[in-house]
Amino acid sequence: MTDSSPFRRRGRFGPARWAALSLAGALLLSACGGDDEGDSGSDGAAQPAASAGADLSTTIKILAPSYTDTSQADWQKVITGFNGKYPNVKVELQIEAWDGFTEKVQARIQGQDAPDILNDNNFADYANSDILYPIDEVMSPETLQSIEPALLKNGVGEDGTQWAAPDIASARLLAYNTDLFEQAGISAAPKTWDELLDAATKISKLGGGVYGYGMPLGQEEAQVEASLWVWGNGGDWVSGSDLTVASEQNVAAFEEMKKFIDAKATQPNPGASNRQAVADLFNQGKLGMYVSHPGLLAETRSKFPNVKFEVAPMPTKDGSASANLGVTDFIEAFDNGDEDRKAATKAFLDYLYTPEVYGPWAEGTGLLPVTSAAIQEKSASDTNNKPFYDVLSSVRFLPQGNPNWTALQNALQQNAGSIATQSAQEVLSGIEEQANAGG
Amino acid sequence: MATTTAPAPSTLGARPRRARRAPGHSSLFTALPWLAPALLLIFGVVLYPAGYMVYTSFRKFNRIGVERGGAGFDNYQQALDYPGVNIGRVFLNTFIWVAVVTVVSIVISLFLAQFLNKQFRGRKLVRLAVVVPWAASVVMTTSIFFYGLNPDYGIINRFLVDVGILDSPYGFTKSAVPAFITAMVVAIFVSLPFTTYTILSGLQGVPDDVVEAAYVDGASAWQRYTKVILPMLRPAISIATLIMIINVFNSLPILQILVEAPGYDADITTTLIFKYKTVLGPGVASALSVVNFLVVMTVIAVYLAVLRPTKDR
Amino acid sequence: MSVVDPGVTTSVPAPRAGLSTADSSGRGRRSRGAGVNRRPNPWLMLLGSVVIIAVFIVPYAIMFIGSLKTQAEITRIPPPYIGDALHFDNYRTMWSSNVHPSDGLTATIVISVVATAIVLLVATPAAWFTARYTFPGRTVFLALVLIVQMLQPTVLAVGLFREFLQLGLNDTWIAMILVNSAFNLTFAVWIMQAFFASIPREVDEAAALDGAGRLQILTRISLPLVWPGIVTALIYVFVAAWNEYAAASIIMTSNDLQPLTVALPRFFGLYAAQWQYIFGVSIVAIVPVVVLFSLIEKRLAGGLTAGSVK
Repeated sequence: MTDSSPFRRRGRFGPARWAALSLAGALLLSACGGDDEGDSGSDGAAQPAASAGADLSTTIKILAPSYTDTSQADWQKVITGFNGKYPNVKVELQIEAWDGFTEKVQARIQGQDAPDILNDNNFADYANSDILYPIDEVMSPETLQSIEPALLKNGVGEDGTQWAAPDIASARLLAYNTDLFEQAGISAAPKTWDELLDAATKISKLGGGVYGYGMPLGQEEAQVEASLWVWGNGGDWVSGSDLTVASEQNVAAFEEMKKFIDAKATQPNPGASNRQAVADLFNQGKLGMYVSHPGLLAETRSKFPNVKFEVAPMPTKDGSASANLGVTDFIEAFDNGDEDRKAATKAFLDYLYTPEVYGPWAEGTGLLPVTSAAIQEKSASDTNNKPFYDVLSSVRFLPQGNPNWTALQNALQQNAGSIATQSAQEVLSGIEEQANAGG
Repeated sequence: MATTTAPAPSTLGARPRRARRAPGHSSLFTALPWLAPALLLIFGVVLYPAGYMVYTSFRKFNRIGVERGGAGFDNYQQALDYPGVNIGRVFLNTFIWVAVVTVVSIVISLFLAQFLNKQFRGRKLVRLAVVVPWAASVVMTTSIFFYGLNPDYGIINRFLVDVGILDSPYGFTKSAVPAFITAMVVAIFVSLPFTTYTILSGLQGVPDDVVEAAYVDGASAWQRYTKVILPMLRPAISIATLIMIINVFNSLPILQILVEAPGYDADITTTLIFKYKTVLGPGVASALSVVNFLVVMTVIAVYLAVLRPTKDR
Repeated sequence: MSVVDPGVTTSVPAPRAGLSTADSSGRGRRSRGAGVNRRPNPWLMLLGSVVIIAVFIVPYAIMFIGSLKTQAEITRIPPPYIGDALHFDNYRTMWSSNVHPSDGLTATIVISVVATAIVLLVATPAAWFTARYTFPGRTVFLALVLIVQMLQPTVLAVGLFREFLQLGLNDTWIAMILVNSAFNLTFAVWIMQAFFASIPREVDEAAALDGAGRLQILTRISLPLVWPGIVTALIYVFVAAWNEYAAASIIMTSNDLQPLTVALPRFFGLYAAQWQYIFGVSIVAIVPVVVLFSLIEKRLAGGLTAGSVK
């Protein structure tokens, strides 16, 4: 790309080329490869990078989404620390909003400017296009082992290759407003769909613009909300590589959602509501329950202290199945055909997952960490989120590794909301057809 | 006409009229330096990408835009027959969108321009008010409506409830048909300054003595308007209509921002292109763009052929 | 603009049969003093003015009042019409908010201003020459201008994106400047051409006899004569560039380089959208353009009908 263009990459990172001019024989890095690594094994793992990295001089590019206002600074802190060890590796950081993030990644790929390190929430399309390094080529085995196994497997592609490594996690649990529960005379969190419907209807009947259950089927997160219901009925989206979108269980699950909408137990216009809009209602004390995550609830605690709430597992049809959804975001490494950049990428990623580095970084995202050590530590200290840590080892994931998933997710986001006006069978068949056509 | 002392232009159809005064002759070689920069931009940034897009529409891409060989007409087939997309409805929407926004804008503008052409105290102020949506970018204006119509914290929704027009806040942008209508209203709103001012300039070109003569002849106000003024406004209306058709057809942000409804029932071809780009990659998006362009060309050709706005009166 | 003073009208009533049938009850006795341009009913005009001003200004009033609310007020359910206090400090704090207004404003201004300047430099000679001379290919050139007029960045966005990828210009202001120049160029040529054609040729000929070259005739003679019309053309170009959304939404992927049209909507759906800042930035962007428009209000429409192909 045209780094020389006066209009390109203005400001933030200074002239792109200065790294190329910097001193060739820099600090020896052998001592730095893993010396402050709590995990003893990293030493050996970092060796190839370190030996080459004694005078490793290159530029690597990171593309990451903005989790919070501090994301830029949090990454910069990691980069500064890394440059203390690898002064001649110039790290170019680009932070972008989640909104439109996929388009940005695609534009970089199509422009032959794929980032060396990508922090994203999906990887299958890139893995299928053969443009990623298997993540174990750019992360030491020790680093990979430090990640909670239940979460790590979310980064495995359909071909069994570990294409991506989780970097942060989240889970979805049912948050419920205890004041509204009390007013409606409900004593305990619902466990089954019937109890959920009963509670939601009672709360909706309180009136005054109060609604029972927040069902965000808008384009942002329809795939998540839909999955909770499908799983709650023992259904799933895929079986192997086949789509089973319109299966009997799934249709029944969608019919149940429709029942909630028809009973006016949900907020108005569920098909056009994003999770944030639902959270806004909850924060205003106008919503009894919705499926939430730690980031949103932290916001509620800090900015809307009047809202009293508890957290419980997502109800399922008969209370037996588990429909707690886990989400991880991933670190992925693009193959730019440059060994120096690959080595620098590996050095950087191993550094990133160092406990002292990773802990503060993960905390800055406002989400949950993925390394076993950090999870253990946080579940003791972070009592607010204890319920979320408790389910992390048993959560279910969206079928990220499935090559059809992106198409299915697009179809769900665009069409699941139609459930308010169309039959369950119609909606799901349409989604399946579209997902199959969109591969 | 206050600002346009220009007589009929010399171009194209009007040439015979000016034949007496044929411009000087020049060779292509002499002309080239004067035209070269313009030609360079036109070919480099308009025609080349157009050609490249046609080429792209016959290439196969995966979703993230990595090229995978030739595609024949597959992209076109997929663009027009993507499950879940009722392409007939999308074309119908496109037609309604262009026709309603253009016609309503022009009709309202005829009234507005007539009003603004009168002399009254504060006219300058009223005219300035009409200009404001023109000066504001469409995205910004749309954002006001998007915010104001939010059923939870939207101020317009609250107002409609407070004055009793609505019983409770309504999700204007939440389902397809209301969202589409809302978007049309916003599109008309942001188009009014342009159409009004174009017609106003036409009105200013209507000689007062002609209207006066008709008045003195005893023509009623309506007759004066339809028989005298309107025919003289024809060029201004034609131009405004032509430019409106092109602009409205290509209008993207209003629908893209306002419509929160699921599905594709509030899409026009233009917004669908951008959805395809993300979901199906550049090949299919290009194919639909090509179709889209052919549709605009057809619409404009029909407009020019049937209504003959450019013919001499 | 009425230049006819009713009092001076001297036309003699000479009703034609066809029209006078519609006349009744004394209207046939129209006399000089009550001409067609008699002052309209002031109360009616006042009412009309108020309604029009309200319709066109209220949305921006909502925007302005919103820009003075706190985050909590602007997302409160139900919303207050006006905040408890007017937070003018929003206009200070917004610059450091995550809406990053200075990035978008700078991008929008640089792109629109440079593109407008390029159009001026490129369109003027082309328009002048085609208005003044015949040459082989003139008709082709003018036809090309008309056809290209119908192509818009929206239709070509995908093609533009792929072209700029090839050129390595994706995600640069240069790309957006090129797009905005090229797509508005034809429009400017179209309008300017009509203005140049309106200057009597004798003016040029006199200058040529005095030994002036073509460039001198253009810059010294023709341009000053049609300058107002050219301003009109440039306003259109500027507004189009100011508004451009489709191409930018595909080409500009870096948040800190995006023009406002693309940058602002990113914030609508975020965690507690900071509408007060979005509106604040918009006001800051709108006010100078409104002022500009008010200065040249009379020229706003002239060019179009001058350029009309009758």
